[in-house]
Amino acid sequence: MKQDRISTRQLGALLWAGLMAPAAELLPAVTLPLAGRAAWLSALAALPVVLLIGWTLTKLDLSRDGLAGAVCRGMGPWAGKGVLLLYMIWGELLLALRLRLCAQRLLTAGERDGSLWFFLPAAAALVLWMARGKLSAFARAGQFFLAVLLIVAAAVLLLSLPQTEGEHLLPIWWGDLPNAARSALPVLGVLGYGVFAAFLTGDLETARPGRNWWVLWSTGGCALLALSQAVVIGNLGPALAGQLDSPFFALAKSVGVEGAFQRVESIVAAVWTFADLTLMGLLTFAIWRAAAGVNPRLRQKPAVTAVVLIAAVLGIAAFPDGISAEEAGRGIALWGNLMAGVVLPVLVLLISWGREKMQG
Amino acid sequence: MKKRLAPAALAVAAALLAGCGTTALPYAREMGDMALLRTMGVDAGEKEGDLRVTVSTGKRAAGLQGEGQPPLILSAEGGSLSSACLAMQGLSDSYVFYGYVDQLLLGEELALEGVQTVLDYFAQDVELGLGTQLWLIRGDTAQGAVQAGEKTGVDSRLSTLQTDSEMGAAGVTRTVGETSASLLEWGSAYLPALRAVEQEREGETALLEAGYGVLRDGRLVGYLDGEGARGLELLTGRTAADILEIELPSGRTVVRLTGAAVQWSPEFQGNDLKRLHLTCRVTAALAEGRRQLEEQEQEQLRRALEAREEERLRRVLDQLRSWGADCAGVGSQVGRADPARWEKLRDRWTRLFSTVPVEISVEVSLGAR
Amino acid sequence: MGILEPERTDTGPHPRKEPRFDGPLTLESLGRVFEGCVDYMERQVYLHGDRERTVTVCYLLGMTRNERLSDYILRPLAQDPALSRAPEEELFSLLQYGALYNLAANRRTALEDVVNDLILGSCALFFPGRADVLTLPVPTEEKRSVGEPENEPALKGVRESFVESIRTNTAMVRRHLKAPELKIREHIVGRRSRTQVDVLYLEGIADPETVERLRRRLDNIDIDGVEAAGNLEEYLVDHLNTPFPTMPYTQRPDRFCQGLLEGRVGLMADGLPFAWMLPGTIDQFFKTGQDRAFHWMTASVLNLVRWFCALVTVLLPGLYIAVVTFHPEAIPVKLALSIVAAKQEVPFSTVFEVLIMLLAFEVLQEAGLRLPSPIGATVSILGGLVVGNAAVEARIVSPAVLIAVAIAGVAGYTMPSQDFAAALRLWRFLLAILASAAGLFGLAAGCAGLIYHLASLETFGVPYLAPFTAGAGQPQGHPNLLRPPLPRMKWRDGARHTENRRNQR
Repeated sequence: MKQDRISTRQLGALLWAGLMAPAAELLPAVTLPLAGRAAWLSALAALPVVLLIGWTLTKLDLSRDGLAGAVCRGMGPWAGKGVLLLYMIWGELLLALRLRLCAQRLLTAGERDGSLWFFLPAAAALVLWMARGKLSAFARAGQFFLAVLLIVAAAVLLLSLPQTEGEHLLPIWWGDLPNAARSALPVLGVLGYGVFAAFLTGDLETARPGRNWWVLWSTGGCALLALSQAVVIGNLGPALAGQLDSPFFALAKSVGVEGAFQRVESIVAAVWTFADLTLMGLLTFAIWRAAAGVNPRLRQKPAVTAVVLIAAVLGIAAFPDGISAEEAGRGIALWGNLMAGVVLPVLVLLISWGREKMQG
Repeated sequence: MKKRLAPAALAVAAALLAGCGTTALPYAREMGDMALLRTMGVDAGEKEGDLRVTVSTGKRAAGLQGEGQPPLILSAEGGSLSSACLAMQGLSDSYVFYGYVDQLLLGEELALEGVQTVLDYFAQDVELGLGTQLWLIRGDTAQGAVQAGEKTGVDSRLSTLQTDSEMGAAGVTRTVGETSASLLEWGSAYLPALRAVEQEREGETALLEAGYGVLRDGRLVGYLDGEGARGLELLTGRTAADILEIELPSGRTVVRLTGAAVQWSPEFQGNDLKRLHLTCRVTAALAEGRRQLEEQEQEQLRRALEAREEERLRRVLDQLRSWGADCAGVGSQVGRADPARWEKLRDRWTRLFSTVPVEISVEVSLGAR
Repeated sequence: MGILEPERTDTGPHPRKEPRFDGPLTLESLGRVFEGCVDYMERQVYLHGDRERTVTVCYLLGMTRNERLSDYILRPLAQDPALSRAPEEELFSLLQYGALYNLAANRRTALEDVVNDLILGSCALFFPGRADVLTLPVPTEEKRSVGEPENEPALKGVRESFVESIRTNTAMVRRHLKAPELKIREHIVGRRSRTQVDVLYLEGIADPETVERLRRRLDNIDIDGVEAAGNLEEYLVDHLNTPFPTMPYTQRPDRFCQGLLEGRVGLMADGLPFAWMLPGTIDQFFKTGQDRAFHWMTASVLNLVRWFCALVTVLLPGLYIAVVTFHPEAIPVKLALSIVAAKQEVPFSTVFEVLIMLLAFEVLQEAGLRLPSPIGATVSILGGLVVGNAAVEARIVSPAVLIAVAIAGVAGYTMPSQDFAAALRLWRFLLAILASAAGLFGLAAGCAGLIYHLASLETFGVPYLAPFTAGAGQPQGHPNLLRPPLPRMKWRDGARHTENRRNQR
C-alpha cells in the first residue's frame, strides 16, 4: 500500500478538479446575496484564511500518515478516533449530497428527462470502480480531468469576455468591502473540501519540490475563482446573476462562436461530471484513510464498497427532491465544511500544542 | 465471488434497462420528427392573466434537394407561459422543439401589463436562452406579426435586422439577458420596436423599424421615435449610420456619423447633486461633397452637427426624465464618476433623475472618409 | 462442461523432462533420436585416406551450409596429412584446435547437447571408441534478404527492415550502434520450437531493474512454441484485460536503436521480422520513425494532428449520436436544418444508423485485408461509389451519418500503430453504445472510464500515461505533444531509473 505514491502536483490537481464542481454550482450564486457587485472579491478575501489553514496543516506534520495519523497523535487515541469518526460521518453526508447534486444537475442542465434512478447509481458505480483501484491511477486520471475542465472553463470564460461590461463590476467603494469580507464565508465553505485532501498527504512521495508547494496552488486557485466570478458577474450583471440557480451554466448557454457552435451548456454540464467524479473519489479515499486511522486492519475493497453504497442509499433517501438537496448544498454543507475544514484543524493544532506543553 | 458478481450485475443492469427503460434512461428524439422553432411571440391572452404564445419555424425543406415548405405557425393560449408552450405540443404532428428560438416578439398589450414573467421564463427554462433577441411590436399583437411572414417565415427578416445592427446600418438590438439585467439593475430598459406594414407591391406584410419602447418596472411607458430614437442611440454610444445633408457654399455635402461617446460629470454641492453635465464626443466623416473644405465651411458643418445632436439629446432626455426611466444607465455612470457620494443618493436616484437640471455640450471631430 | 461438448480431462502441464534425451552418447542413439527424419545424414570419412582412421560426420541436410561443410570440414579431413600421422589420442584435440577451418568447435559429452547443436545447424564428428563428440557450427544463412520496411515507409531515413533471422537482426543493430556497451542476452523460449529470443540493452543507460524483470518473465514462459507475436506479447505484459498495446514494436533498425539510446530495453525473437521496445508508454504509439528526420515544427504539428485524429476517431460517432438525439440545440442552426432535411425519409433511427454504419466500415476493412490486390481496387469502387451512393439516394442512410462515420474511420488511419488503432476502434463502439443509451452523460462517463482505464495501466513498472502525468518517482522528460528541437531534448526519457540521464552537452 505504501508503494502507491502520488506527487504533490497530482494531489493539487485532484483537489482543484474536485473543487470545480461545487465552485461552478455555488459561486457566485451564494456570494451575490451577501456582497452584490463586490462578490467577485470574495475568493481573494478568503485567501488569507486559506493560507492560515494551510499553515496549520503543515504544523500538524502530515507527512507520515496524513491527517488521520496527525489527529490521533495530536489528540490522543480516544479523542483522535472520535474526531476521525466525525470526519467520516461528515464525509459520507457530503458524498451522498454530491451524488444527489450531480444527478440533479444532469437532469436539469443536461438531459431533460431520464430519472434519478439511473443517473445516481451510474455515477455511484463509476466512483466505486475508480475507488477500488490504486490511488496513483486515480491521481493520474485526476490530472487529466483537471486539464479537460480547465480547457472547457477557459473556453467558456474567454468566449464570454467580449460581452463583459465593466460597469457591472466597478466601482467598488469602501462600503462594499465589509460585505465582500462576509461573502468570504461561503467561499471558505466551498474550499473546506480541501481538508479531505489532507487525509491523503500520507501517500505523497518523499521527495517534495518544496515545503510551500501548497501556497502556489492555493493562491492560483483562489485567483482563478475570483476571475471566473468576475467574468460571470460582468456578463450577467449582479442582479440577474443573483436570480439564476447556477450562473456559470447559464453563462455557458449564451456563449458561442457564430456559425460554429452555440448553446453548448449540455456539453459543459456533461464535462462537469468529471469534476463530480473526482470530488467523489477524493472523498471516498479520504473516508477510507480516516477509517483506516480508526481501525488499521481495514482493507481497501470492502471498505470502499461500503462507503459508496451507504452514500448512494443516503443520496436517494435523505433528499426527497431536488430543492431540498440544493438548499442543503447551499446551507448545511457550507457551514459544516466551515466547521470541519477551517475550525476543526485549528482546534486540533491547539489541542496538540496544549498536550505537548503538558507532557513536556 | 467475482465470477458470480459479474453475471448478477449484468442481470440487474438488464432488468433496469429493459423494465424501466422508458422512464429511467433519457429519451432519444429523432431530429427528423422535430419542428425547429425559430421565432416566438407572446401576447396578453383574452382572459385576465392569460398569455397567448405564437411560434413559427423558418422555411422548412422536404428532403435534400426539396423545395421549401411554408413555415409552420402555431398558436396556443394558457394561464402561464409553460402551459401555453405545453399546449403547443398537442397542436402539431411533429415534436415542437424550442431550442433554436432566437427571436422573441412581445405584443404591445403584454408590454403594458408587464414583461418580467416572460423574461424570467427565458432565464429559467432549459431549452430557451438569454441570448434571444427581443423585439416590441408596436400597434399590433405579436401573433399578427408572426403570422405576417406566412410564406417565408419572419425569422429571416429579424436576423437581417440583427446583422444590420451589428454592422451599424440599423438601430440597436437587445437580447433578453441584457433587457432583464438592465430592468433588475436600473429598474428600466429599452427595446427596439417594430411595426407591421402592408407592402403595396407584393401584398405582403413587412416588419419595419419603429423606434424604441421604454419599460419602467417591467411595464411599457412610452415610445421614442425619430429624433428621440437617434438621441437614445447617442446616449448609449451605439450610433447607427446617421446622415446629415447640408448646403455649403461649395456645394451639397453629406456627412456620416461614425461614432459617439458620452460622459456624465455630476456637480455636487456638499452632498446634494446640483447639476449634471453631459459631454458628447461625436466623430463624423465626409461621405459626399468636395474633399478639401475651407476652414469656414468646416466650422459651419461642425456647428450644424452639434446643433442637431444637441437637439436630439435634449429631446431624449426630456422624454426619459418625464417617464422617470433611466434606461441608459446614467446612474451607474454618475456612480463611477463619484462613488462616495453616489452611495448616499442611490435610493433617491429615480426622483433626482427627473428633476436635476442637465447641461449638454457636444463636440464634433471631423475626419476624412 | 456442457452436455454438447465431448469430455475433456485436464491433466495439467506436462512436467518438463530434463534432460530431454537421456541415452548414452553414441551414433546409434543419435540415429534413434532422428529416426524418421529423412534429412538426417551420416557420412563416414577416412582421415587422409587412412583406412584405419575414420570419423563419422552427422548433420541435418538443409540446416547446414553445403559449401562450408564440404570445403572447411570434409576437405581438411580428407586432405590434411597431419591427421594420418598424429597419434590417435591426439586426433580429437588436433581437430578441435585448428585442423578444421571453422570459426568454432565444441566438445560435447551429452546426447542432449549434440541433438541441440545438430538442429541449430552444426555437424557432429563421431570418433570410434571415444565418448565425446566434436560439433562444429556450419549453419546455413538462407533467409529473406533485407528489404524495405512495408509498414513504416521512410522518406528521409533508413530503408532497411528487420528479417526473420535473429542473428542478422542483431548484426544490423550492431552496425547502427557500434557501442561495446550493447549487451545481447539470449533466452530459449518454447519447448518444441526452441526459439531464440534476444534481449538487447545498453549497459549504463537502460534500467537494470527492467532488464531483470524482462529476463525473469521470459524464463517463466513455458509454452510449446513461439510462432506468432502474441506468443511473447501476451505472456510478458502486465495487464491482459486491455485492448491497448503496451509493447511497441518496429520493423526499422534506426527506430529500434533510437529506443535503445533512450534507455529502453529491446526484445527480438527468431522468426519474427520486428523488434519490441520496452517499456512502452502511450506516446510511443504516436511516434513514427520520420519524426526526427523532419523539422521540429513540422513534426510537432503532425504529432498534434495525430493526437487530434485519435480524439476524433474515438469520440465523433458517439458525439454525433448524443448531440443529434439528445441535445440538438448544440448543433448550429443551418447544420441542424440540413440534417433534418436529410433525415426526412430515412426509416432507421439515428442510433441504429450510426451503429450499422460503423459495423459496415469494419466489414469493409476486414474484407479489404483478405482480397488479393487486383480485385481490391474493383471492390473499393463498388463499395464506395455504387453502394454508398445508392444507399444515400435510396434514403436508407442519411448522408450526415455517412460523413461522420467516414471522417472517424479515416482519422483512425492516421495512427502509426495498428494495435492502438484497433483498440480505439473497440472503444469507439463502446462509446457509441453508451452515448445512445444516455446521451452526453453516457459519453462523458465513457470518457471518464477510458481515461481511468488508461491511467491504471502499467508496463514494467512505468505508468502508461507517464509522459503526461507527473507521478511519484517519474523524472520529468520532454513535452510530448510537441517535439522540441533536438539540441533541447537533453534527457533520456525511456527508462525509469537510469544512471545516465543526460544524452548530450
